[in-house]
Amino acid sequence: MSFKEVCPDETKIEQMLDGTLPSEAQRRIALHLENCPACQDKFEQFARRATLLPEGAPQPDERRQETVLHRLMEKLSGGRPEAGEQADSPQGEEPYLPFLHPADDPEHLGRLGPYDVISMIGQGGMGVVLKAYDPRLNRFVAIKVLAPQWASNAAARKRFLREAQAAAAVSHEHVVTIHAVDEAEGFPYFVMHYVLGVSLAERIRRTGPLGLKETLRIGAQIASGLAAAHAQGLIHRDIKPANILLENGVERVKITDFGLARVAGEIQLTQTGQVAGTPEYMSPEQARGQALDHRSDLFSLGCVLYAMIAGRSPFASSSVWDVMDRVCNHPPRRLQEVDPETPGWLAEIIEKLLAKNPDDRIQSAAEVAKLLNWRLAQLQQVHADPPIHSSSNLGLTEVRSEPGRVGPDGPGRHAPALKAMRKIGADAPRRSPARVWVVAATLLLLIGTLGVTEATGVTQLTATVIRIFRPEGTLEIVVDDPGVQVAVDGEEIGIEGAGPHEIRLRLGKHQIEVLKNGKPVYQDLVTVNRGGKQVVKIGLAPPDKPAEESPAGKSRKIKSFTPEEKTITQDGMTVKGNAWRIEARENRTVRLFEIPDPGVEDCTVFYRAKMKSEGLVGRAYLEMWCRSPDFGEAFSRGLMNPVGGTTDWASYGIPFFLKKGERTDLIKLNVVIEGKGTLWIKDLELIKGPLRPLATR
Amino acid sequence: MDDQLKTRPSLLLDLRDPDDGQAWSRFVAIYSPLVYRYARRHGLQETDAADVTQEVFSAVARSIRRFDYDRQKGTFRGWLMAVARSKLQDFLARRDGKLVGAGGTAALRRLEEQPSAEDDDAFIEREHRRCLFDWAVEQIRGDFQEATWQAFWQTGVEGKGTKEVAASLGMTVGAVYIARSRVLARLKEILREIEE
Repeated sequence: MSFKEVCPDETKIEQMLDGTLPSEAQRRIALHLENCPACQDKFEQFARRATLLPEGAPQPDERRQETVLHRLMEKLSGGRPEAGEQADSPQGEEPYLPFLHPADDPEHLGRLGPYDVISMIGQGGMGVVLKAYDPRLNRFVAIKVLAPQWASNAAARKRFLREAQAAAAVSHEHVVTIHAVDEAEGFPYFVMHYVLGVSLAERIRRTGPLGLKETLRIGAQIASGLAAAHAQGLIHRDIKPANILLENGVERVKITDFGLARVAGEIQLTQTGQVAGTPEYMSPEQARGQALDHRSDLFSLGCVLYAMIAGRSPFASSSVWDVMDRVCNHPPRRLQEVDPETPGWLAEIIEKLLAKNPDDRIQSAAEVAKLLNWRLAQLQQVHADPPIHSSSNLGLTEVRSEPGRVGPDGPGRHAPALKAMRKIGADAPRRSPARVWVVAATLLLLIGTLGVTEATGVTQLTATVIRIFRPEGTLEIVVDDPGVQVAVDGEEIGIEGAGPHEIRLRLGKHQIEVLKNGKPVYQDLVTVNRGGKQVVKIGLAPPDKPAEESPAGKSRKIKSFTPEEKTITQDGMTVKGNAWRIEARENRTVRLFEIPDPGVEDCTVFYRAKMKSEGLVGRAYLEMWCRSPDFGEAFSRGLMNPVGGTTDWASYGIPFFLKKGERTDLIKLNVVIEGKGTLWIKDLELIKGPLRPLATR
Repeated sequence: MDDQLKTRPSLLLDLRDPDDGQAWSRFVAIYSPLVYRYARRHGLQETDAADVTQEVFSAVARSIRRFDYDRQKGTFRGWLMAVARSKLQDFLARRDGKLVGAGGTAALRRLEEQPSAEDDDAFIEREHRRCLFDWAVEQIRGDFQEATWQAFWQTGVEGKGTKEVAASLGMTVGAVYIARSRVLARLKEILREIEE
């Protein structure tokens, strides 16, 4: 080896330590250093002088206060208090209500259209609710105004008004009457009947679970209100105890906020505590962001009935994702375990409403109302519990009432979770002041579409690119199939043609889910930090196209890998002939190879391999990471085509789309095993193919 | 005109846009530790310091649009810390059970009595630099491999010897310098982006 390089001068040393030297020069110096002890010492001296922070790392005794500080920062950065919700104001500062005109009466907050606004009753994700007086009709009204942060969004405004008008068409004793829908100073609002009373949520919070008759009465009234709305083709979408008002005195049910969840869902992807924050009463189809019909409300009604008996939602949990998982995948704890007094027929009705599949539920709200009213009438006439089997006359024929029947999960499965629920319940009131801080969202989610033709013989692929811009970077999801839906935090993102759509995400964890035919094919939890800079790119491998097929177009091999080459992960790997055998005792990501500076750009990179499984419980798939100075690090995973139960060799491949100007300086090839067992892999190759945008979709 | 371009007060301008949540959270990330530590420095308990900080940010959020950016009149940080100082006084007055107007002087005295080796300005200057550093570090931490990061952190921040670090990380000395250099370059870049 020969090094013509002379010892770097002091300027060079400083530049090297400073990070201002070009990388090629750095590399030369690094190489030189290996062979020049004198320079090593010199560098050492300079480096010690150039310590970056005189204070150094935080001292251990600062740790405790750092956690307090950390919590504070989380709270503060959730949103700026002025943006819509009222600030936590010990000094009694006024709420931010820019749409109000000064009031004639100093006792009033202000005026909105013809109404004298008296006070603010509350606020939700959509806007504020005001108590006002209508001088023309001499009555109190409740006015809901679209929150300032949404009022400037024309689409949101239109949607808000449209939904309010639709809801206004429903006239029923158990639906809050909407008197008027209007707009003032660019702020849309609607005027409702002022209900003096508490919400069912408040009622449950104050007095705990309700009695049987109460439950039946309230449940029947909700069901009949829903039936009236459903008859008009209106779906509520957000049936939960907070939207059920109980009028003082008679405790008559009034359902409020019809259809608004949809507005909320479209314009504010998440707003803590509102849409994604409380999916506890959502139906599985709603949680998955699928199309839904009136039966979604019936699932929610089941949740509300359950909550009246149990004192909490059947799917309550400490995290949104946990809740979603429970809603979608697990039966709730049986009611009779929660409260042994629950009659079997009621548990059955609720269980039936909570069926994951809408087809398995009771099919109409009217039917539920009829059932509950009938039971209520019986209870009021007779003292005895009516016979269980009579339920089969009322549309519950498929439900068997075997006394000892236990759900598929067996009893007690949810016991630990129950503890967590109780804890949350206890915490909730204390936490509420923090909620008012959580307002404005911070992220832009840009959605565009990009068509590509890829090289593995699959032509005419259309990729959907979703970008979530962060302060410092982008989150990008590439889905190579126009038939998929993408949901963030359970809210489906409508992908309608090209052009950016903006969606706001708050700080914290967000779930990205890609669905195909209603089934999740990809899920990832992305944390949005203050100024977070993580980039994720997901490509779904075409399902039925073995990588074997001759590549169309000009594709060429970048590199192939044989067992002569040493893999990065060695643990649990053995070479057998031309293949690797990988053992997994638990979920693991096996790092196979890294390709520095592959020199690719403006192309599709394919990672292909043959794989087979042997006693594999779970699934395995290819994973490819591309690191780039342009977009950070991103990956593509073969989730759509994982190795499952098959024991024969089959070809698998995943693409990674690199647009023009997106260079990559490192590609990592991994294989991910989710589960345990043995996976075989061979014929690894990295292929470069063209990236051709299509003129039309 | 050229001058204006050079001194783009980006953070502040962004902050004045009420819809720019990113600017807000970045602002919180950088400045809330500063305000919090300032309150701690003046003898407040952790939770009290957190309360005061929250009040400061609440006040800032309400009045940020009224703040006129003018370098001649004083810096943004100066203004922020003036708000912090006033909220701290209010807090001390409340805690001492006195009305702000009447007994405020006692609180003020208390504030001024805090003995320290350095004055507030030096403290704020130093802490601000540290807050910026902490923030920037958090932003870029995930961009680097663990070994790269360790090479940078141990040599650059903890002040360990390069050879020692190289040996413990299984890297060559040259690689440690490269790693350090790369991280540092990135760090500078991100700090440049937010410099007022």
